[in-house]
Amino acid sequence: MEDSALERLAPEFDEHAAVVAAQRGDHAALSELYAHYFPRVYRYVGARLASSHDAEDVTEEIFLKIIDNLPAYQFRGLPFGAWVFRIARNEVVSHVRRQKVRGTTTQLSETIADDTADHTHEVEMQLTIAMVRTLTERLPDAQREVITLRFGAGLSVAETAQALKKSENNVKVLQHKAIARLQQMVQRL
Amino acid sequence: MISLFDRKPGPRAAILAEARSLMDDGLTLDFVIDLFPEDAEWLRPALALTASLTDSYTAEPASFFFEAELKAKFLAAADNPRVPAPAAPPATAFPFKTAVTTLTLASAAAAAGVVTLGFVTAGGAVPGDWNYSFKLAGERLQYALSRGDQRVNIQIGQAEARVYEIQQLSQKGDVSTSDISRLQDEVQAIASLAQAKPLDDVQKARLQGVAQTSQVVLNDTKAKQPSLGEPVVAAGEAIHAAVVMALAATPVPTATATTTTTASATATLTPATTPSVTTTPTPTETTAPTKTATPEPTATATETPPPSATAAPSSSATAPPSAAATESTESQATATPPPGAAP
Repeated sequence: MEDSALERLAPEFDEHAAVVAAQRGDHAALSELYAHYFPRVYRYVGARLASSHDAEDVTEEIFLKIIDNLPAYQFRGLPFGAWVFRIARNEVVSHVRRQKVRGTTTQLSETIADDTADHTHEVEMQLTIAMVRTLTERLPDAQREVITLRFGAGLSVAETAQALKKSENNVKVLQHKAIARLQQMVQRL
Repeated sequence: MISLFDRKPGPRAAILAEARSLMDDGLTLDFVIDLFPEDAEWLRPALALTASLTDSYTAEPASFFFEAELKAKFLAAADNPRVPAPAAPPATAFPFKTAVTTLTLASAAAAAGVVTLGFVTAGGAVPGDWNYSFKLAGERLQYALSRGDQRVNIQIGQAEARVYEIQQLSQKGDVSTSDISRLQDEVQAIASLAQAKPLDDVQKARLQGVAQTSQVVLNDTKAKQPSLGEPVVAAGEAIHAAVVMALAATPVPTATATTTTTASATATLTPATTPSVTTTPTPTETTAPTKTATPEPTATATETPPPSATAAPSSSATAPPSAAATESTESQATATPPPGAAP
């Protein structure tokens, strides 16, 4: 059995001990939690927001809220991971609402074209990412939430259910419907 | 999370979830497909799509600079919380003010609701009901805001309401002396108003209705509650006297009627003047004779001083119409049901 991409990015650790230590202000434990959750949170946020600039802003706000509320967190019912992604989801939803009120702006590219190297693979990857985002944005909200948490943030079915306050069965149904719909959309491309 | 409306996923949804969970645990796509040979045909493209979703999301990592910078902020915020803990509110002043304000607003809202409900439902209230005070208050307000004929009408309406209340209470044997005296006061108030401005025919008819109905109701009360015999009798007499006084109140006679008649003539002519007021509701048949008949005899009486022979014809000429007029009005007053007599 080989490690998945998520496991390589965030290997297993004793989350309970890390949270308790982090609540006491232990920087090592805080670093451990950050290392575990940052990639997942950022991928989730990046999957929900079109702009990487917005994704960075929202991710920063999420982690600052996590640190603000960490002393009040208690291991009662809601696992720490679900608690983190509940904060993340609320921030993303708030950001999207604010964007709807303000109106969207076109992001300027920060990259400069480099003609000296072969970027075929990067271009294909960028196109794939753009296509995935475009297609997932067409999904109903509930299905999109499940897809981004499951495959963007790498949460399990149980964690996704807790983060979304849904049942595991409901998450399984939404996941299946979303995949089926995405397959249909890909076939129509 | 357990929900009452939770339903089991379909077989494909369950298989996809299980297969994808195995991939999350590190199994390869081919390995997982081998575990579900019967579903391989549809499961493979579905799992491949989920894998491409994960790959596309993980293929766009955050910049190292951003990740490091945020980590520094994250650790710094742990030492210096960004949002200070909310200060404890003052122990006494604010909660007390809030409680007082809340209670005041709640009581004001409740009072407004009760007042509104009281006024809305007070129409048929009788003494002893919770909203009877609202009924009396409403009547006082109506009376205070009214003038002239409207005030008399309101006063008569209040007398009618008192009669209705005694009637209702009498059925239960709950009439008290205060209820009777209240009716008496209302009728006497009508008499007082009638002294200032004589009642019109409609008002007189209503008052007569009040008088008749009140006598019936008081008699019924006396029968059911013998202990109230004396107050009931006294009130009946007082009401009767007040009604008579109110009905007898006449307008100031005209100059022609007072100056032209002799002693004998005034005795016959004065009744003839009252119908001129009471004839308005009756048909034109009665108004026409009084207008034309009354001036003529007076004119003849002044021109021919003593002869009783001339006076007699004049009085006889005027008497019939006046008598007919009074009879017609009385019969009409008793025959037509007084408006509002039975609220």
